[in-house]
Formats: sequence, structure tokens, C-alpha cells
Amino acid sequence: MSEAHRCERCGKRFHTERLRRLHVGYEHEGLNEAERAAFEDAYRGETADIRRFRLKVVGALVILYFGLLFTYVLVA
Amino acid sequence: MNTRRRRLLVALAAVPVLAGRAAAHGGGLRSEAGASLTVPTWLFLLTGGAVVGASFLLASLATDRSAVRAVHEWRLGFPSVPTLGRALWALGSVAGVLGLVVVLWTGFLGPLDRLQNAAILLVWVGWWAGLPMVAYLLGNPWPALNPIRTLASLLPSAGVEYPERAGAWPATVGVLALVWVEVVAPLAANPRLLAAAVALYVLVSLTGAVAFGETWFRRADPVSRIFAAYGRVGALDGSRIQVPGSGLVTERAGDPGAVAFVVALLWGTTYDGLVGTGPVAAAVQSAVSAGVPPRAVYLLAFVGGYAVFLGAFVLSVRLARRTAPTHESSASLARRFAPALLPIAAGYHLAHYLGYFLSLSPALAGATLLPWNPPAAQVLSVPGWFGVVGPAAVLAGHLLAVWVAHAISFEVFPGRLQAIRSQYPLTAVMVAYTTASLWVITQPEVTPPYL
Repeated sequence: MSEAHRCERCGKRFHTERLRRLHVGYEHEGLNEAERAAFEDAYRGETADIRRFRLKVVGALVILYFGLLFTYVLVA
Repeated sequence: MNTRRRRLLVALAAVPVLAGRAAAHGGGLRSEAGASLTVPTWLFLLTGGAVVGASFLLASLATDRSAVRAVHEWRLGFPSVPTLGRALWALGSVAGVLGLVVVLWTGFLGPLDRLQNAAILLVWVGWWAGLPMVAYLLGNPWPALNPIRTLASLLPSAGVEYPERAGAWPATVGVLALVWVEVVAPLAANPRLLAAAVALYVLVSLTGAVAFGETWFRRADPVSRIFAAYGRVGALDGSRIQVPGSGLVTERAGDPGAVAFVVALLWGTTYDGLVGTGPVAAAVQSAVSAGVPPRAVYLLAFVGGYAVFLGAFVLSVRLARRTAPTHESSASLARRFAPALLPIAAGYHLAHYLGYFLSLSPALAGATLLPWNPPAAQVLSVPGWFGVVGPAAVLAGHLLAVWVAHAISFEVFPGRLQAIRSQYPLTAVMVAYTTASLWVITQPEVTPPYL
């Protein structure tokens, strides 16, 4: 599986195809059309995931905040 | 620190104070913080941990690579004045050598009263408490001040090549030895003993400097490495201003043992505080009554605690490989993320020593200006609200550490979510560590038994 996501330019291995494409876009110069398109595609896909992740973060912050608030109300 | 601080502060009782209450403040920061709590300690600790956790969550919202990078690449330049720089450096060198002469002279021949002895005050209040603050708040002053470097520059160099494999290990052992000696030996009570210890260190370090040249200070000398490590936390990059901690993001703990060195620095400051807490003192007493020699108990705790700290960090890095996920080796990740621990050590140092430094600085000034005939020692009384400074410094150190680790992860990993996920284990360790160190500084200070 790891062989499948190996960077052709530097040989670095990645767990997913998306990480490999992002790595190529960030670390290497002179991308060809296909590489550039693959990078942009991976980046957009990641951005969508980050949006979902942010909702979870905000949820966690709210739980943390109110959890502490209620603890203070109960204890102090 | 407890041992030393206790010994110095015990001596305060007999001393006229500048503003009333200093003697009553004998316990210093720690008892202040304990007394000012109106919520139960567990809730206070929980809140501290939650603040660090929340700061990680907030940092994870910053996923714009260029914005993250802009923070640690930001610099505010001053027109550099080389003449001024050289003049300051020369002044520092002279001051450093003079300081060493004063320490040795008054240490061996000066007054025995601790609060009037310039050696004791210069070493513990000036060098051990005050100078690291300059380093991690501004920048590393030690290369200019270091009297051994100045002396070594006057001697011929043997030009021996520093063994690559040794790396940071001599410095790591040196830091642990320094903390150990400071905790168990009465170096703050006995100026003669202190002067002998300083003379021994100068001899060893000077030999190293003559043998290996500049490499000695950069890699093997524990004191130079401590100041260099703290200096990278500071807000100065040469003559330019930077966001504190920026120097840590692009740095790798490069040479063998460099990760162990950073953890040793962190554990050293913690152990120092830990042995002065009631529960630890009680544990020591019960171990000794069970027949273990006291020194062995302390040594066991010292070595064991270091192993726990190192283990926790290494474990968090191993787990990070899975949460990220990544094929980067654990060793390379450890080297990359170890510098993020330095702001924690700095915050903890500030929490411990700021009150101590401020209250004893008048005595330091008096004894340093007139080492042969010091005036009656005076101490400054820190106000009651000062108890807040300890917990605030611990939290500030952790918040900076969370941000630095976040910025490092964005340098290391191609994926933004991957970078954030790599931080889960390290954040967990930091939350645990915040809670533990807040617990230490809120415990009323006790005298470590049998020392």
C-alpha cells in the first residue's frame, strides 16, 4: 500500500494519495499540468474536510466552555 | 530551587526589609498562589488544563499556511549599529570576567552571611534566576558574558575535533548534574563550597574550550546550551524583534542527544519544585522510614522522573506517527518537535523565580556594588497579587508551546489536517504537564526532608 503513494521525485512515502499530491505541490518545483491539477484537486478536497473539522472544533470549544461554566456554578 | 531558596529566605528573617512584609513572605510565590485560591485546587487544575486544550483547538482553526508562516517569519528590524554591538559585547565580556573574579574572591574570602555575600547572590539571584529571564524574554546574553569564553580566547586552542557521536550528551548529563547538585548540596548556604564548585566548573569548562574551541560552548557546555536554548524562545533575533518562540519553529534539535537535553532542562526545573511539595516530602519520609537511604530516594525520584518525562515525549511522538498518519521516523519527528517544549521550561522558570529574583535584587545590588563591605542586606516585599504571576507564567509558556508545535507541524506535514492530527498526542502530554506544574506551584512550600 505504501508503495502506491511514493513521490516519484524524491521517493518519500505517504499514507494516502492526497498527501502525496500535496507534498509534490509544496515541495517540488516545475510541476507539469497533471501534477498541478492533481495538487489543486487534493487541496480543494482537503479544504472541504477542514470545513467539517472546524465545525467539530467549534462544537468541542462550546462543550468545554459550558462544561467548565456549569462545573464552576455547581462547585464555587 | 527550594533548598536554595529556603536557605536564603530563612536568612531573611533577621534582616531589615524595605517594605514590611517580606519575612512573612518566606514561602514566596508558591504559598501566595495557594492562599489566593477560592476554588478547589482540582477545579483550578482542571481549568488550567482546559485552557491549554482550548488553545490547541483555537490554533487548529489557523490552517492558512502562509498566515502561520507569516507569524514566525515576522521581524521588526532596527538599523544595526556594529560599533554599538561590539561595545556592548566588550562591556559584557569585561563584566563577565569581573563577575567571576568577584564570585571566586568573595566566595572564598568574603562574608559568611548569605545575604551579604556577593558570590551567593550573584550566582543564585543574578545568574541562575535573573539571567535566564533575560534569555527567554529577550535574547541570549551568555555568549557575551561567559567569562570562560573570554578567558579561552586568550589561550591557545588545541584544535581537537569534537566527537560527533558525543553530540549533546555531555550537556545533558551536565544539566542533570547541575540540578542534582543544586538540590542536594548546600551551595546557597555555604559561600566557600559554592566558590569551590564554581572553580571546578571553570576548570572543566576551560579545559573543554581549549581542547575543542568554540564547538565546546555550542555543543558540550551545559551552561552555554541552557542559555542558548532559552535564548531561542526570546523576542530578539539578533538586533531584530520577532514573535516570541519564532526561533524554535525552523530549528531542529539536530545533534545526538539534543532531544534528551531539552527534556532534561524541562525535568530539571520541575524536579526542583517537586521536592518542595508536601505530598512528595511525605512520600520521601515514608520511603526513608522503610529503610531506603534518603539520598537514594531523591536520586531514584530524579532519574525515574526524567525517564517518565522522556518516555512521555517519545510516546507522544510515536503516537503522532499514527494519528497524522506519516512515514516520517519517530526520531526525526522528536528532533523537530522537541524545541516546542522550551517555552514550557521558560514559563515554569519564570513562575518559580520572578518573585525570588525581585525580592532579593536589592541585596544583590548592594553586595555586588560593595562586595568587600556590603551594606545591611535589604529585600523587596512583593505585593499580594503577585501570586497570580506564577500560574499565569506557566499557562503562557504552554500556550506559546502549543502555538510553536502547531507552526512546526505545518512546516513538517504536507496535509493541513494531517498537521493538526499529529498534534493530538503532544497536546495531551502538554495538558497533563500543565496540570502537574500548576499543582506544584500551588502547593505550600515545605522543606525537603533529609537534605
